This record gives sequence, C-alpha cells and structure tokens, in this order.
Amino acid sequence: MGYLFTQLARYSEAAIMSTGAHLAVAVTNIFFLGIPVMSTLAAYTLVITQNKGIPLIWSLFLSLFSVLLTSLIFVLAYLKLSADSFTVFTLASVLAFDAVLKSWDSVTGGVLGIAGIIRPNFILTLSRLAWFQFGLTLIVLLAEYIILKTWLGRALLGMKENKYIVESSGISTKRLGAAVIIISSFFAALAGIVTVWRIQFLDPGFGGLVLLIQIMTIAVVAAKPKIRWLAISTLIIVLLPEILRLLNLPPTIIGHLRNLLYALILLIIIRKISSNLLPQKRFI
Amino acid sequence: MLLLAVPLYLVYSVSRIYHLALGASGMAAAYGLYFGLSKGWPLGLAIFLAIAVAVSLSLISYWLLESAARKKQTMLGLLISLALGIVIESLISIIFGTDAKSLVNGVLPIISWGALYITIPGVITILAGILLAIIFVLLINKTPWGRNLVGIAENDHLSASLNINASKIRCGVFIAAGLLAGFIGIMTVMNTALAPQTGFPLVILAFIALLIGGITDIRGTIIATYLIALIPELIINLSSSEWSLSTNWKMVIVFILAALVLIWRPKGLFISKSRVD
Repeated sequence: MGYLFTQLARYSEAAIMSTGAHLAVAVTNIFFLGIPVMSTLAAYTLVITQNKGIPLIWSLFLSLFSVLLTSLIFVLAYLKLSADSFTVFTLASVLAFDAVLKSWDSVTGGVLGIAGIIRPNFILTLSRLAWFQFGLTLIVLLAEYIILKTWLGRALLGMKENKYIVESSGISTKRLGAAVIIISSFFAALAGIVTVWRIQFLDPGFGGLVLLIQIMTIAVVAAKPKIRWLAISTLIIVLLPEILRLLNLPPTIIGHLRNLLYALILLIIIRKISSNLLPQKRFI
Repeated sequence: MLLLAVPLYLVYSVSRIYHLALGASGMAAAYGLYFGLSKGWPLGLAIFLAIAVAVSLSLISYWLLESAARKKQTMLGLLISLALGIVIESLISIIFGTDAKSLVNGVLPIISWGALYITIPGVITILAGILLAIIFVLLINKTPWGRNLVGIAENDHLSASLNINASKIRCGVFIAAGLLAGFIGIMTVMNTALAPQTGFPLVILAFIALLIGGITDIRGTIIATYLIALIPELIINLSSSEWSLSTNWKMVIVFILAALVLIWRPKGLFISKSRVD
C-alpha cells in the first residue's frame, strides 16, 4: 500500500509542476526552463525558515514570496531577451542555482543537504500526504482548465499562433508572457513544497537537469493545450520508469537509464509531433 | 571555453540553433580516447576512435536538427539538442560510470614564467584557442566560404537560388564543430578530470559568452569569452579572506554578470546597429 501511495504522491508532484511547464511550453510557446529553480528555491526557503523557528504559515508565505521575487527576474529577462536567448538564460539559471546550493553551505547545508524535515501535523502519514497532494493536483489542474477557458487562455493560445494579432486586439503580450512565467513559478513552488514534505530531505540534487528533463518531457508529450492530455502524459512519464524496476538492474544505473528513457521519449515525440507544439502554419 | 564558443557560433550561424549537445559530444570523444588508451591501444588508434565518435555524433546531430534548421524551428532545435545531450551523458554514465577518470597518469608537465605556472596541455589549449579564433574570424569575414555561411543563415532560399547547397554546408559545419568540440573535450579533461557531466556547464558558459558578445559577431564572442573567463577568476582571487569565494561560485558570478549585461544590452555588447526590414 505504501508503494501505491508513493506513486500517487509522485504523480501529483509531477502533475503540479508540469502544469506550469505545460502552460508555458504547450499553451503559450514560452520555453521557460527555470521551473526546477523555482521548485528548489521554494523547498529550501520553506525548510531553512522553519529551521530558524518561523511558524509554518509564515514559512510558506516567505517561500512563495521568494519565488515571486525570483520570477520577476525571469520576467525582466523575458521582456528584454529574444526567445532563444531567454531559454538559454533560464537553462543557465538551473546551473547557477545549483552552484549556489552547493557553495553556500552555511545556509543550505552544501552537498550534504538538510535532513530530518518534519511534515506538518495534518499530513503526518504517507497516506494523508498522498491524498492531500492529489487534492492539490485536482485544484491546480482545475485552475489551468479555468485559465484555458477564459479570455486569458484564448489570448495565450493566440499568442502562440501569432502575437501580432493578439497585440492588435489591444492585449499586451508582454504582460501575458509575464503572467505565464509567474503562474508557472507558483505551480513549481507548490510542487517543490509538497515534494519536500514527502521525501523529508533536501540536497542540491532535488531539482536540476534531471527534474527539468522530466517536466519538459511531460509538457512536450502533452503537446496539445488540453488538461486531459497533461494528466495522461504525466501518468505515462511518471510510471514508465517503474518498468526498469522489473529488470533487476544495479541501482547505480537505474537513474541514468530513467534519464535516457525521458530524453529518448522527448526526442521521438519532438520529431513526430513537432507540428502540434509549434504555431500552425496556414497556407491560403 | 573559447574553443567551444567557436563551434557553437559556427553551428548557430548556419542553423540559428543553439546546439547544446556539443559539450556532451566533446566529452564522448574524450571518453573514446580514454577507452582506447585504457585498453592498451596505440595512441593513433585511440585518437582515431575519438575522431570517429565525434564525427558519428555530429552526423546524428545533423540528422536530428536539419529539419528544424530548414524550417527555422529554432526552439525545437534547442530542445532536440538538449535531449540529445542528455542521451549522450546518460549513455556515458551507464557505460563508464560517473566517477572521475584521468586521461594522463602522474603529474602533468608544467611551464613556469615568473610566478605563473601552467601545464603543457593548458598552454596548448590557450594557443589553439587564439589560433582558431584568428582563423575563424578570417575565414568568416574574408573568404567566400564565410560569406556562404552568413548567406545561409540570413536567407537560405536566396542562397539556394545562387546554387549554394545549404544542407551540405550545414552537414560540413556540424562535422567541423563536432571535431572541434572533441578536441576541446580532450584538452579540458587533460587539465582536469574526465566525468560525464563536465560538458554541460562548459557549453552553457560558452553560450553565455555568445549571448554577451552578440551572437552574430564572432569577434564579440571571442572578447566576451575572455571577459567571462577572467572576471570571475579575478573576483574569486581578490575576495578577502573573510568573504573568500570558492571556485564553485564561478558559475554564479558568470550568471549574474550575464544577467546584468543582457538587461543593459539584450543583443550583446558588441552588436552593431542594423537596418530592420
């Protein structure tokens, strides 16, 4: 039963985080790769502030506030840089943040990380945590569904197709892009917080490229701006590496095999369904 | 970093794609050499294996990225390249493990010049970097081949109408870039250690140099490479004992530097103003 609850929790964490990536990549076509930074920042801020004796509610607030401030830096970069430069900039942020976590060991615990993280009282057991996370996932998915069904969602989809037409309708694409980055960061922060409550341990390996490749694979496999596609692709991507457990391989290579699997899926999907990911070219 | 920035610039100039897998390709070539040497093969055969790995990965990269380059799908190209880089790194980790390996046994030969001590592979890397930078500046700015490259990047339909085969040139550039990346991979690990994840931070630093220098001008790239290599080293070495910074902070300093420069000059420091159609 513990295994099932762990898988449910992992699914929920991936779904919450990928909702942000889905909104940015599949809906708006903004390749915002700084999502693991946001997730890790939120988790570290929560744990560090709680270790300083700050109550949970204030730690949560500080955690989300730090993510908001950092997302504003990405918004500034988005407004200033070209699309591909912005992507490389956000990718570089993953490595830079990893270096901060490893080097600033008086605060972050360095490569050894922070152990013994205590869950809040209302989710002390794994089953409660898993159901709590699943409930949160439904709320996040519903939030994206509502966004997609409102003028905001239509504007975002329009921005993916042709941003000049959206601009000519009197809607600022800069503000839309900024909103997407902030919303994605918020979802990533939520995912980071609930993940650290499950694993009860934090080290620089919490986020990074491994997490990035997983959520980008989910976002790209989902491809279409529909919630059900996101839910299904998360299920596939989270559960697929579980097959590797059956192969009785040494634990040292299972992690690399999982990354290899995700990257191969990403390659194949991009090659096969790239037309769904990009603005549709219509020839009249 | 300069050596890696040059092939990245070359690939970008013909495809408009940020080829992130180049770092991993370079490391794969270095692992090819390591494999040959560890099996007791003659040096020439080990080098041949390294070249074969570099060329094979270049051809795979070309095959995967050509469609995105032709359709100007630069973001998809970037994602494909990122995924390819992860595939190469994961394969290396599975085959060789993640522990650091050394290409050269024992202490590296050192040249001393006053208070300056530098290894022989370090000297070769610096000289090769300067030499290649000069060669490529001249090739791109002063030869018909360079003008072809710029022409393809600007308008490949127009280039095709002038009987220039863009696909063939792109393929050639990918192979040249792969060989250069292999060379830098080998030189880098001679100075440090061979590990699967070495290539990715190196390629990101080289990309930051491209962005800071202005991606359409190779001279800007060269100057920016030296700037982002030297400024963090100066800050780290001049930091006081009370606030001493380790070399791990280098990436953070480069990132902050890049953020400040790019917010001030989004198209890079050395980009010239051009007419917009």
